[in-house]
Amino acid sequence: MIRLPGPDSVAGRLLRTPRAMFGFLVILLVAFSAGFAEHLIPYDTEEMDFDALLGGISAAHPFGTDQLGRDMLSRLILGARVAMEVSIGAVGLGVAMGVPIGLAAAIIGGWFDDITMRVMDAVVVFPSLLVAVALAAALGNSLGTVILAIGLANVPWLARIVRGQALGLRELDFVAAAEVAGTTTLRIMTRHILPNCLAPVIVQTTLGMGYAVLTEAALGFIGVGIQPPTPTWGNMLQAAFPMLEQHPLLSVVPGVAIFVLVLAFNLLGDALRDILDPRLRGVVR
Amino acid sequence: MQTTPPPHANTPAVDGQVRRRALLRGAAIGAGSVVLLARHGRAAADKPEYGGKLRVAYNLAPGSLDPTLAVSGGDTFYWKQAYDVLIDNDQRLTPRPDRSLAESWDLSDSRAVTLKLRKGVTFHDGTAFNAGAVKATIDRILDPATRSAARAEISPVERVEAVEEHLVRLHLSRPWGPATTMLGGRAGAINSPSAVKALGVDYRFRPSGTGPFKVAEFVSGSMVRLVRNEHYWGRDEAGNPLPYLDEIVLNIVPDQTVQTNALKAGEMDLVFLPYRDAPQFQDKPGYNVNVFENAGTVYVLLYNRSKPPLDNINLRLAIAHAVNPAAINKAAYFGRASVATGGMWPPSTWAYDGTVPRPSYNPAKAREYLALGGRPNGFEVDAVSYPSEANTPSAEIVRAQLAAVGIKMNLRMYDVTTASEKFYYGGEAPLYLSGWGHVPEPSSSNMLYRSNGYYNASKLPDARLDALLDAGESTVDIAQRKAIYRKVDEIVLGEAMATPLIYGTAYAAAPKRVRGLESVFTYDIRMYLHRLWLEKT
Repeated sequence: MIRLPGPDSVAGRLLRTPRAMFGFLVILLVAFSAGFAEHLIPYDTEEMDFDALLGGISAAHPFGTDQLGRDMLSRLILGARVAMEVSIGAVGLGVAMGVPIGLAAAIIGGWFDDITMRVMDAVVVFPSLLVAVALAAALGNSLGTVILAIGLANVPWLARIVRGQALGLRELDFVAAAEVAGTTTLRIMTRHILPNCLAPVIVQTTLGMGYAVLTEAALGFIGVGIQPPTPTWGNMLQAAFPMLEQHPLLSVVPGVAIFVLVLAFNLLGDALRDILDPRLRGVVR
Repeated sequence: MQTTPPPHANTPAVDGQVRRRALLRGAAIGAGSVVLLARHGRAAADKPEYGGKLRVAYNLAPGSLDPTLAVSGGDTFYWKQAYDVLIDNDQRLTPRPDRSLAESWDLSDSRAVTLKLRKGVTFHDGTAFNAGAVKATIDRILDPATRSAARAEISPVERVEAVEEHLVRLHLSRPWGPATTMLGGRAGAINSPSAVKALGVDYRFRPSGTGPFKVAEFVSGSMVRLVRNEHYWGRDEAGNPLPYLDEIVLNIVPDQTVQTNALKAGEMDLVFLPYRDAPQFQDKPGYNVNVFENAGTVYVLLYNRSKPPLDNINLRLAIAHAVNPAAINKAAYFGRASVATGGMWPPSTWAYDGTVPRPSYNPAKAREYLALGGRPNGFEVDAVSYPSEANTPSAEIVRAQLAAVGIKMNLRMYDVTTASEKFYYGGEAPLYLSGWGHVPEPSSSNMLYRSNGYYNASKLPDARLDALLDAGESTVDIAQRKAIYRKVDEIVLGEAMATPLIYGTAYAAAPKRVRGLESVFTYDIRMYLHRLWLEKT
């Protein structure tokens, strides 16, 4: 028997929020395309048909063909894989580094807190795209570099959020009770404070994934992202840009894809924030 | 001659810039191939009207307005408007005494070039043009302290003798085949000796030539404004004084799209068009487009023959036969360039010879060469290139076509300067997908082919080529020179030292009211503006 989510559970509330469902379904679709790209693409993305250059929408090529006669739909699907890899990888890296840093800063406090948070501030004052460009330029243009670059830009935001939450939680009675009971600091951190920090982290990661998609596309567009022939939405947009007037479809296809996926992450993140924020619980919307 | 330097000699890195430059570089000579799409009702023989200001967009900022100190091919665009040269040439490099500072010349002595100079010519600062000015200019070029790039172009010149007020003799250390071409470039652009002396380092951007326009204003990184030289000696066919325009403003606009949009918006009167935009303006009733075909080798495979696996001639030939330039032309150049059918000098130049056997697209043959080279199942090869609107898709096509015969190309893209450095000196990759300048004078390719040539990545001594290149440089007779350069092509193409793939096309576009557009291209794909005029509305 399938257990349906209760009306007050997070999942239940998400199901009742249309924008969240829209975001969730779009992300699911993109993730599915990314996961099964090899089985979904109608053409090899490197297959060039010189008799079908810059083709429009047709039954054979639903999204047309690009300057080299490659199928745009196939490239879009493989581009989805890069988008998902980058967003999951970058945000994963951000969480893996940012959460422990924030937690440690809050619990250890003192000079350690000061130093780590000032370092985080220093990273934040640089526009994250600039940090990503600098890293990509220094380390080369591979998928790993792009993930690292965007991931590092995510770290300070997560660290700040976790630290802020943890500082508040540390003063609460249940933490004091745990301390009195002789629980170790590490255990307090992981079992008592961390789980209670997760709601804003989830919101931030969702929004961060949208931002990662956008940043990856921006890097690809200015030519320092993942290099051809690997299709990414950003480098598809870059290749299309000079022909924006003559063949707008080439720009529209990856452009709309980026727009919709980023919108989906933002809508979902936004809805999650509303649902997870205890202060807003019970507010009728 | 001032040859268009190879891509690396300039600096642009932005897509549009590179593209533009490739186009300029490429856009070469197009004798017999100049097509002016004139849709205007009135005949071109209308009486020119005087006055007006012409606004021109160009992508490269000048490094110097003084031709003696000019370095990049982009500089030529600027100084050409303010200078005359000793021996001007038409698009097929045929000397034109009527447009030159020398009225006639004598090349019969293999150890001297004697030039009879035009009388009654003055520099912009009022100094009289004479043999002393020629001597002062060329002495300044020959002085190593000047560090003039033009020095290498007149290397046979030992000393200059001002024989009479209007007679000058260049004494040579060896016979000088391309003399008339070289004296038509920056080495032949004569400066006012008194202005050079008076201004010192400031002369670089406040030059004084004899040309149709005088530099009036220079704003670094933004524009150069020139005004009509009221005392210019040149006349048009009807005997009217040149130039027609009062003022020209050469605007530095790095981005191609911005240039095209400015032309559309009426903010510019003359721009070079990229391939993609050409039909837009050719089909538009309000514009004229001047087209140069076979304008330089804009896409070429260069090999480092010292670096495995391309030290193996059969593997180089396998690559040369696996790439289909027709597909590249179609996709990356919108079918508007031409498939290369000869060497580095395209059909618009006298040295071109389309009968030289050279590799062409043939995958079956490519596989044969793979087998001959001992790699029947293919091999992996590193390559470098630089991005541009045409280069980026071209590189993807090359990669796919090589993959089709089993050759895996690992391509790294750098900006043009870095890519060139890594290929020519760094030994980073044995294959370079590159562009090359327009080379109307074949001896300009010496730096690519000579054993110690600046751009010979292999640095392999080759006595055959060196001997041929020496002969080509010291022979004056064009028919003999052509035979010599044919032999150069046989070696270079036949042994796959370089495989030219695409000859370029250049487009200059202007609104209909700009007249005389058919006169606009120089042999090296820069512009002459002194025969343009504006129709009063």
